[in-house]
Amino acid sequence: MKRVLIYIDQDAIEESLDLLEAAEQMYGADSYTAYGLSVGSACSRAEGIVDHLLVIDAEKMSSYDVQNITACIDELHGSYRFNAVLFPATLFGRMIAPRAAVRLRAGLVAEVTEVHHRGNDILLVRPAFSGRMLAGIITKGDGPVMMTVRNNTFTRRKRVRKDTEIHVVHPSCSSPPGVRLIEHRRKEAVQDIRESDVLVAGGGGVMRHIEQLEDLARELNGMTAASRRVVDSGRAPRHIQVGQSGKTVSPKLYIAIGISGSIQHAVGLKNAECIISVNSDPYAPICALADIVVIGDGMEFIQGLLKKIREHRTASSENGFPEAKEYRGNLPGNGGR
Amino acid sequence: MNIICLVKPVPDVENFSYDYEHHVLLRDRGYQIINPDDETAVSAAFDLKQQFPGSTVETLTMAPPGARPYLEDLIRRGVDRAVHISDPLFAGSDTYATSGVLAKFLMDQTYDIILSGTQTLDGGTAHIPAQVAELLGIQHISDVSRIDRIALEEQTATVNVESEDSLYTFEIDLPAVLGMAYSARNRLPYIPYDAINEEVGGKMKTVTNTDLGLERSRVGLTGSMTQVLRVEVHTYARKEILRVGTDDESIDQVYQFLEKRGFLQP
Ligand SMILES: Cc1cc2nc3c(=O)[nH]c(=O)nc-3n(C[C@H](O)[C@H](O)[C@H](O)COP(=O)(O)OP(=O)(O)OC[C@H]3O[C@@H](n4cnc5c(N)ncnc54)[C@H](O)[C@@H]3O)c2cc1C
Ligand SMILES: Nc1ncnc2c1ncn2[C@@H]1O[C@H](COP(=O)(O)O)[C@@H](O)[C@H]1O
Repeated sequence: MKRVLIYIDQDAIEESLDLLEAAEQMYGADSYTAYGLSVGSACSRAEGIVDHLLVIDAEKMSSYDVQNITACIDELHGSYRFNAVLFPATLFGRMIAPRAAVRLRAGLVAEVTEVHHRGNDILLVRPAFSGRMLAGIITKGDGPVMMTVRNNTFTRRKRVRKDTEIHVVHPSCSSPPGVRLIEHRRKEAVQDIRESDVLVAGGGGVMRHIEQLEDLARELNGMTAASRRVVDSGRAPRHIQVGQSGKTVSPKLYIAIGISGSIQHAVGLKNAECIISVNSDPYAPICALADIVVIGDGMEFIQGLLKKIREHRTASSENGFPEAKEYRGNLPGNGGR
Repeated sequence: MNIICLVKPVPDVENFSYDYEHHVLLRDRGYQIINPDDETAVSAAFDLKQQFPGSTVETLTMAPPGARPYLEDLIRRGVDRAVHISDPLFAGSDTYATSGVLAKFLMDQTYDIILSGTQTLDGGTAHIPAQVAELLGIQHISDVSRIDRIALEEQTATVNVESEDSLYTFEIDLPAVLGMAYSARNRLPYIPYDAINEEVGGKMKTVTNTDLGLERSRVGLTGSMTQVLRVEVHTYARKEILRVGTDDESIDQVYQFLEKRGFLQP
């Protein structure tokens, strides 16, 4: 049996537990024992999901105390000898993982997107070099395989409920915390692009007209999104960025206007059902991802489509539903709509 | 106050050429820039220097010899000293080995605070600052959007940290590594006109492994804990693609598609 430790970030419990899927892809469902490490509270949501839940008491350690948490992971590794240690790529997961890798003399791969096998090695894949490439990486040495994983990359499958054993950990290493929380505020809840069925996304090619995408999004009952190019230029807020350093979205329809489709953007689109790409360059990488490629100017497309939608609406409200009838006839398999 | 900034020149992703026919990166044609997060770190260091007159701002870089002009430019923009760690032995170092080299140098330095970027544009791992801090046995925090206050007597800093959904204020013991998040407002000043050709060699220091004395087994490819086995150009699975233009007929095809899939409101 392999032993896999998963760091459970209290602010991202589900995302942390999703890493079990990565463990499963590494070792196979029945060949590993899952250990969850929870700092501060027993984390009832992990019960029934991991085999062992290791809990460090909140009195002893806060979840911001990366130095002590690292020392504690080192100590746990001393007794359990993990084969792999996985962290969600959250704010604190990303701070603890590299420190722990130094302690355990282990290879750490950041923001893994796929797990493969190569001989006896586990090959971890991540986007590299400005995203034109995918790198397949193996870890060396005697330490565990370590990785961080962004949310939504792997999704845990429902399995039988496990009898979770809870172990309270008493770290011997703890020194006074060098980082102390003074204040924590949640950002104002904004509408989340991950919840929208339709996204109209703008990129470098339509950067100057980003507000006009709103009109189309509204017509389609969706929201606007953006590439990092647009966000970095200050023309769109960070929370609507799609991609590796933004959000992973799963809309039914994604209209990418003036977006080249670098891999960092594309990894955020893994789960999009249908993609329409509008790009003046027929060879832009995004075109290979799309179901429909519109070659041409993004603004012309938006204006043309808005005009078409509005024309049809006026026509149908003036004389019954002629349009709907007409289309229903020649669209097989869409009966009920 | 002594401030050391970790700085790395990286390929400029936006102005970067790729030969799709032969699948090679045209590296020499790609410009380099100072990693944006690191630029914010140096700019934050300049702000601290204003607040605490008499402070020095140093940069530390491990990079091939070609990085030198970028470091000279940093001096022309106001950095007091730039240290360039460069040795053929270090080629191929992963983040683990690189952190080892940077930490080995830092161990013998005096500093009150180390500023870095949160992550680089090319690697984007965000490993180095945390690992350097671990090796030095000091605190680290990343995604710092603002250094609020430095209390030198108490040896603490108060910083604002921003994640996707939260804003935090932390107090952190010094010395510490503070990983700055890129901020478009925190850019470096332009090089003053009369400094463009200024001779800055005296403020540059080159460090090799003769100075650091690391074992060969600890650096470069052999000292790395990860190994890149294959790099491949990302290709997308082929599928049936409908290609249209923006003429009326094309737009109509898109409209019909949306209608068929039920995306249009009644
Ligand atoms: C570590 C790392 C993380 C990253 N994370 C992300 C991320 O999360 N999300 C993200 O998006 N990017 C991310 N990037 C950046 C990414 O590599 C690209 O730089 C970025 O996605 C490019 O955005 P773009 O395609 O909108 O812009 P550009 O590359 O500028 O492309 C513009 C496109 O618009 C087309 N165009 C131009 N004019 C028109 C017109 N009039 N009409 C229609 N089309 C037109 C062009 O042909 C081109 O294809 C990351 C990069 C790194 C290194
Ligand atoms: N070779 C290097 N030399 C100096 N500083 C570096 C180097 N690599 C990374 N850094 C610092 O570490 C930060 C994070 O880098 P990375 O871990 O590569 O994402 C950067 O923003 C720099 O401040």
